[in-house]
Amino acid sequence: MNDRPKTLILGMGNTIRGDDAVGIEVVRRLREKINLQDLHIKETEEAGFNLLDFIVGYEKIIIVDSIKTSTGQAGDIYRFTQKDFKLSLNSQFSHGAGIAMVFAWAQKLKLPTPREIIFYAIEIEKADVFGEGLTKRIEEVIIPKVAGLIEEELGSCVDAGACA
Amino acid sequence: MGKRITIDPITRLEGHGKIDIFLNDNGDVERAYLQVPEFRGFEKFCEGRAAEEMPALTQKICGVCPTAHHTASSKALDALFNVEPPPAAKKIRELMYNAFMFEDHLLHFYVLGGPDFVVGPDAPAAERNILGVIAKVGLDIGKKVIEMRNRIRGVNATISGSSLYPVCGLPGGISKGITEEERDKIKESIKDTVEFARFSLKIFDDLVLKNKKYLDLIIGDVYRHQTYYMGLVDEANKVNFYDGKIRVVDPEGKEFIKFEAKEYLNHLEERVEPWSYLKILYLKNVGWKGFIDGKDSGIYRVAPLARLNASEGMATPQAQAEYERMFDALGGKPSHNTLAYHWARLVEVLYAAERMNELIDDPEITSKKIRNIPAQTPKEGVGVCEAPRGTLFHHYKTDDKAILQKVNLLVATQNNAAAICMSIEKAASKLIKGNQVSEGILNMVEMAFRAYDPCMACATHSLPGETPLIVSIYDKHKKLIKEIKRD
Repeated sequence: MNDRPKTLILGMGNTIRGDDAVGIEVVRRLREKINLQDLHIKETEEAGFNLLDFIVGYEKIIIVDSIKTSTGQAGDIYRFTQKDFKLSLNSQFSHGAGIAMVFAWAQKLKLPTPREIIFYAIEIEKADVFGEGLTKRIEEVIIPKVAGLIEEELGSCVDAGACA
Repeated sequence: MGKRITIDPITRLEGHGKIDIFLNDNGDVERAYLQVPEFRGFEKFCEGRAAEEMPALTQKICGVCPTAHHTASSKALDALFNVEPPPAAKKIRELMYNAFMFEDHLLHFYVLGGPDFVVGPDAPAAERNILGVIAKVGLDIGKKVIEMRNRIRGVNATISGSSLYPVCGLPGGISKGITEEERDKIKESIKDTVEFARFSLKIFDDLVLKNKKYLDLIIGDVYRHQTYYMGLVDEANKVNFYDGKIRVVDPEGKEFIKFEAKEYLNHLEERVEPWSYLKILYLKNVGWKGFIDGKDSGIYRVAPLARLNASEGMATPQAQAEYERMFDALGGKPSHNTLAYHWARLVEVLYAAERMNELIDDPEITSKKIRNIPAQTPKEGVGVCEAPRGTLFHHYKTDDKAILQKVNLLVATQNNAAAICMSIEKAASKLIKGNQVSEGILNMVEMAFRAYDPCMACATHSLPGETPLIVSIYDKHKKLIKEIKRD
C-alpha cells in the first residue's frame, strides 16, 4: 500500500438504483476535471467489509455517497467528518458493516488508515427501486455543485498541482 | 451545506433491520417476523434486456455477494441456450465459486458470527463486535484473516476479471481460461487455505465446544426446530456448491425429494404474510401449515447446516472427517440445532479449501477449450447454485432473440424466511411473558437470526452504511407497546 497517493476521492453507490448512483456520478465528473499527482479518484459499488480495500494506505479520504434521512429533502448536501458520526460497531446482518466498523477493524489491526475522512452525502428520495439514470435536478444541479465543493476542498492541491 | 443532522436509522429498503413481535391475549409471544428487504422491480427492470446481460446485471442487486448471482445467472444462460460448458469451463467456474465461499464463510465466522460465540453470548453489548473478536483471538489472527481474504480476492480477480464483480460468465462457458503461469500463482495463493480452515475449526473447538455453557446453548432447545432441509448434492449425494440436483430430506433425515433446478416450481411455493414484507418459501407438496415445525409442515431450511443435513457427506476427505465428527457430537443426522450452523459453516470452509486445491491441480484446469458456442434458439432456462446463505435460483424466459420476457429470482434468504421467524419467535418467547419484556432480548434474538447469515447487504451502500436493529413489540390489538433499538 505504500505506493498509494496520499488522497483518495471515493464515489459510492449502485448504478442500477437510480439516484443512488449519485456518488459515482460525482467522482466521474471530477475525474474529467482533475488530474493531480498524489490523488486517486475511484468509484465502487461494493459495500460492507469490502470497503477495507479502499481505505487502507491513504492519508486523507473524501467519500461521496447518497443518504436517506427522515427530514431531508432530495438534493440536500451534507458534509461530515468522522466526529459527526455516532456509529455502531455492531453488525446485525450478513456482511452489513458500516463505515465505522470497517475503520475500527483496520485501526485495531494497526493497518495504515487515513488521518482525515470527509463525507459528502447527498439526500436522495428513494433507492429501493431499480432503474438507470438519475433524476433531472440531481443530474443537472446537485452533481456539479458537489463536484465544485470537493474542488474547493482540494483547493490548495489544485493550486499546487499535487495533493502533497 | 454544513448543517448538522441527526442520522436516524432510515435504511435503504423498507422493513430493513426490523423485527416485529406480536403478543397474544395473555401478553405472550404469538408471532415474530424478521422483515427481509424485497427486490422492488428488479425482475421488471430486467425485462426487455438481452439475456446475456444478466450475469453482469444481477450481481449488482447486492454489493457483497455478487459471485453467487453471477454463477446462478451464467448457469441459467447455459440452460436457456441449451448449451453445456466444456469440462474446463465448469471447473474454472467451480474454482471461482469455492474461493468465494471460502472467503465469505471465513468472514462470517471471524467478523459476524464471532461476537455470538468467540466473544460470548453474555458479553456486554459494547464488546460484541469485531473488536471483541480480535481481543479474544489476537491481533495476528485478525491480520491473517485480512491477508488470507486479500489473497483469495486476488485469485478471483485472476479468474473472473474482478475481485468482486465477476465478468467471465457466458452461455456455454467462460470468457477467459487459466494460463500455466496463472495456475502457479493461484496455487501459491491458496496453498495454506486448508491449514487455515483447520485452524479456524480448532478455534471453534477451543473457544466454543470446550465451553460447556456455549455447548449447552448449541444443543439445547431454545434454538432447535425440526424442519425439512434442502441443498445441492452431486451424484453421490455429497455437498456441492456449484452443481448437481437439489435434495430435500425430511425432519428424520430421509430423502423426501431430489429434483433438477428446472423443476423447482413443482416443489417450492411462495407465500405472503399480511404482517410481513417476507415472501416465504415452503415445500409445495407438504403444504403450508403455519409457522410450525415437524414433518407435516412444509417449512424447510437451507445454508450450511441444512446443506450438510440434506447430503450424505462431503466430497473431500478432511471435510468428510469433520462432517462425521460434527454429527457425532450433535447426536446424529439431521441436526436440528440452529446454532450448529456456525460449526457447519466451518466444515464448509474446509471443504471449499480442499476443493480449490483439488481443482487447481486438475490438469484440465488450463485447457483452452473453455466455451461451447450456443447454437439453439433460446426459450427458457433455470440456473441454481448454493449461495453462502442458501440455495439461489435464477429463472429466465425469452423470445427467440434472447430478449428477456420474464425473470424470476428466488434468493437464499427467502428459503430460510419462515425458519428465521420461528427461531426469533422461540427466542423471544423465553424473554417476553405477560407483556413484560426481559432485558437481554436483543442478544437472544440476534443469535437466533445471525446463525442463518441472512443477507441484507443490499442496504449497505448509503451512508452511514449500517443496519440498526429495531425490535417492535405489539399487543393483541396490534398497538406498539415497546420498541428496542440497537444502533
